[in-house]
Amino acid sequence: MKGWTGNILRINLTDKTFKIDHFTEEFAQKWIGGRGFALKILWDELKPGIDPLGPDNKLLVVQGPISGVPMPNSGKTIVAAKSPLTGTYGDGNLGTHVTIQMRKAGYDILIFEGKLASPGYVYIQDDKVEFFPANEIWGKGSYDAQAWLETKYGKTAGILSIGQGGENQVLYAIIRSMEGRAGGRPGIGAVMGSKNLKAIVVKGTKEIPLADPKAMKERGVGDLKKVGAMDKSSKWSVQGTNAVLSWCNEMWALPVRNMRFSHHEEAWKLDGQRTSEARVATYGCPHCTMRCGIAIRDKEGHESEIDYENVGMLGPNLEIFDLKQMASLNYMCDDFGVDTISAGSALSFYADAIDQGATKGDFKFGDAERAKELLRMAALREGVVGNLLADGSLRMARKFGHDSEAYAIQCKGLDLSAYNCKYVPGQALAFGTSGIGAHHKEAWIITYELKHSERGAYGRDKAQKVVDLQRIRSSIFESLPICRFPWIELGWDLKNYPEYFNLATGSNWTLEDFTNTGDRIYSLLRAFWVRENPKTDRTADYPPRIYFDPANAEKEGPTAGKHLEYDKYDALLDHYYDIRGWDKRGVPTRKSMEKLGLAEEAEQLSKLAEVAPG
Amino acid sequence: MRIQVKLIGQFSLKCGFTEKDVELPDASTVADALKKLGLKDLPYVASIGGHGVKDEAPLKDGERLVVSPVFSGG
Ligand code: SF4
Repeated sequence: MKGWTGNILRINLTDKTFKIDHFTEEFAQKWIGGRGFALKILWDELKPGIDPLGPDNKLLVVQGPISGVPMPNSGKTIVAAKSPLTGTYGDGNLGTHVTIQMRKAGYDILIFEGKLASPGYVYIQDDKVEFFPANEIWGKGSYDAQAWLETKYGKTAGILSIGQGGENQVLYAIIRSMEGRAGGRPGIGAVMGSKNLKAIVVKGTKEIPLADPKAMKERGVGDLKKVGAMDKSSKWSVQGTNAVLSWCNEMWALPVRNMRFSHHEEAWKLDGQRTSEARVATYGCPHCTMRCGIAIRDKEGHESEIDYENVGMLGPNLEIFDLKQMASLNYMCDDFGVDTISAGSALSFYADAIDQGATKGDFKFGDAERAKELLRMAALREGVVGNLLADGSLRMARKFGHDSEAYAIQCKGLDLSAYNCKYVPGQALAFGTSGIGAHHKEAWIITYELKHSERGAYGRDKAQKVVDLQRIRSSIFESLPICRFPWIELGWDLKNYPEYFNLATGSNWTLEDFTNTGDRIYSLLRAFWVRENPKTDRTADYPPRIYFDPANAEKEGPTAGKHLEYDKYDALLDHYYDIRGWDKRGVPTRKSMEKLGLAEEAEQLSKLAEVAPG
Repeated sequence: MRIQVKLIGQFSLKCGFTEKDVELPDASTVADALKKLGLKDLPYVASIGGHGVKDEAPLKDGERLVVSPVFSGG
């Protein structure tokens, strides 16, 4: 087999053993790598209904056929598990040296099973696996933990670690890596913590098996230069992702005050120009020539690496417009190892619930110092309030009652990224139907909605666009896996990716092969959700209820009086289901699954839930 | 006529301003404004008052045109 190593390193944490399994070329060609691999393995190996934070859950670290090879923006690794936040399959990608080291060690997939008896970490060096106690780093933030491990294993070692958030099983804890990167929004860091696993260190010395190593090297070096030059001439990475903040504010799509509002006069204080001017350092993922990690100083003097999602959710969403204070919250999230988006959403929901009288408390929008204190309490699960916040907005709402679930800004338990869809129907659909909960990496169509459609329209074209993006992102970007920024931000042609894949694997894939695989992945993602929620219906694909509430519409500005409408949203959802071949509840039909090569999975699903023939 | 132009992200770096008034001949369209700004050949999304506008849309004196590069979601 070329491209893939074909090796799965299966590590049992309970009895500290390991073995190497192998996957077939047929499996590889069907699922690509990254998300595709993780999803199929978790589908096959997890029993429905298991506790995501119990020893039966499995933590996967996954690569794809071009991982570890110098190609534009190919330094991403997928981390996956059953999510404690959504109760279904969850994953995330992050830039890390693990991508390179794991492939050099000879593995495409690491599976962590069971649970360590006491906190520890695992060191993988080629064929050797060692288990060490984590006495020096357990209880420490991710920066200290990583620094300690770097000192011991070297700067280029592949290191994944959690902070106190993961240790304390904060439901939106993420996994961090040495480049200041983070991934696994649906609580994959909490799964790692539940296994008493503080860190994973990988080093490898082997050759990565490639169909045409010479051509791949030439192509990679050349394309990395080209992408770098495109970035330089376009100046994209000067402001990086935070350039979008001022656009969202202009469009009235910014998250403000728990997304009750979509525009704020003071938003400019946090925009791309300000964060770029405040830059003290720049970071990036391995194999990237358009490094977008902009670090600024926070109030306490730390370097805080920001991107738009962090700024949006910890800034305007909390009505905090002091750049340094926003950066402090961001630094704390990174160090504690919790997702900035869900942390921002949990805090904003809490402030909102107090405002609405659903609970009592002393937190107000705009109070940065109290926000920091609450964030610390959440990460350490300190007291009643810390524990409430650590469980995220949806679970808090269920505890508070008073219909507060209406303004818990989440879909399937995962909080919305920093795009306020109170009057952006297509993006609301993208969040609603995302296979892992409301994540922007699945589909982002706001610019399409404005440029090629009408903002307030609910046409079939928008459903089609969401499906198209889910196809591309799930197959190419999440499963190769590779960073998507060169594609739209710089206009790097999508056709490059099948070519990379073919050079690595010796296959003859076209873009269509990728999009078909994307459909297969999306169908199984949905089947996973249905398997865990056999009584599911279309309401699981609705955006937050408050978006439909006329009382929540803006009182002024270009979207004044506008809100989402249920009957129109339902019609849009019908289009989406129809394109996908799902029934009116959002359950894939047997026929649609069979068409995608999922006959066996359809049969398994039909034993647990009602599956229409199609 | 005179319109107000707000540029987002790298477009502001490219043109050297974030926000300014731009003079255009009467009956100019969005495409004319973009041409004048040197942004016509780049992928962009243009809007007025929070709604997208097409290239051929006529501009009115005093309007605020927002021009952004196309993003994929940060
Ligand atoms: S563009 Fe940014 S996120 Fe993508 S690979 Fe480069 S540094 Fe990482």
